[in-house]
Amino acid sequence: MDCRNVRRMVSRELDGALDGAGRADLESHLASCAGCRRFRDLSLAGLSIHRSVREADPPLSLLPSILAAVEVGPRWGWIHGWLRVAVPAAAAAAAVFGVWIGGLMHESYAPASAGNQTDVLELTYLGEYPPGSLGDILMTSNGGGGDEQR
Amino acid sequence: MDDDADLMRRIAGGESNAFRTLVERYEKTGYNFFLRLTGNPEDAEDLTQELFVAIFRSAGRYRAEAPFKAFFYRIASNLSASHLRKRKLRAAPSIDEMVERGFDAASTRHEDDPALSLGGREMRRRYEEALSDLPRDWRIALELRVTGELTYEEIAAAMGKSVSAVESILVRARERIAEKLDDR
Repeated sequence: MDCRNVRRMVSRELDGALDGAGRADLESHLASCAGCRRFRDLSLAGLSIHRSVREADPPLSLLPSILAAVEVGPRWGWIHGWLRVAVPAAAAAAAVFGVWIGGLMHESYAPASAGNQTDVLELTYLGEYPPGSLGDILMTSNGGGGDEQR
Repeated sequence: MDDDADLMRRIAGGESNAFRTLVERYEKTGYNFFLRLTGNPEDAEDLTQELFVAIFRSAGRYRAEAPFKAFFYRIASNLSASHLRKRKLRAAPSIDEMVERGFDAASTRHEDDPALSLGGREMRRRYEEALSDLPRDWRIALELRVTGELTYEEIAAAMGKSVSAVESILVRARERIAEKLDDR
């Protein structure tokens, strides 16, 4: 039996997972292998050190804080779940509403016919440009129209 | 006394008393598991809280065929791995520090205790150092085995590994520790 397998058996022995036959094989090997004996001694020492630390008591505040966390958790979880549905639905509704309003505005402001140049010009001259603005300069340089506005 | 599976079924059904009973039964186990791995009481407290919140929320998915202990430690292992990954530069605590922070070193020792016969305090120091140098998964596996007393199968289920992988991890961890403990 090679030492690699023996160390696996030692590990099982520490874990209480070595059967009787395995134990006999292990002892037989250990009787003639100082390296594996040392490994077992050190592993036992390590296990002993590990187990020498006793459990600590959790702080008294832990239990109430856990109970409070799950009381809040589901409530927020419900709101979160609701928002996950409501927000996309509201966004979709807003988009549909926007398209609908856009359609109505288009119908209200669009020219009655493509050939009606007057309607287009009337839309162009609706606003009064502030004195000195680019619109005012352009209207003045084009002559006529700007003066009529003022 | 209610068994754990029954408690989980009642928690899934919305019984808050059942959850309280489960927390009272396992909070010390969870807290000490995290305290050993992190060495920090505040972290251990936070992680224990996260653990129970996760158990509460996943109660509906718990299947009674699996032992509750494996279910409990699977969540605990995942939380530990995540926490240790975030804080990988932080050294593991010494046992002295852990005692200062709440652990109670066992007062009953036998004269044939290898920890004492092989050099006492120096051995402890080397053991702590060896433990802190182990890869994250190895430490968790060792803690699940030694402190949690889980079987290889339960550790495998908790860590999402095969049984042979778990056994190999434990052997390698012990070899690494033995090398560090060996002063020759």
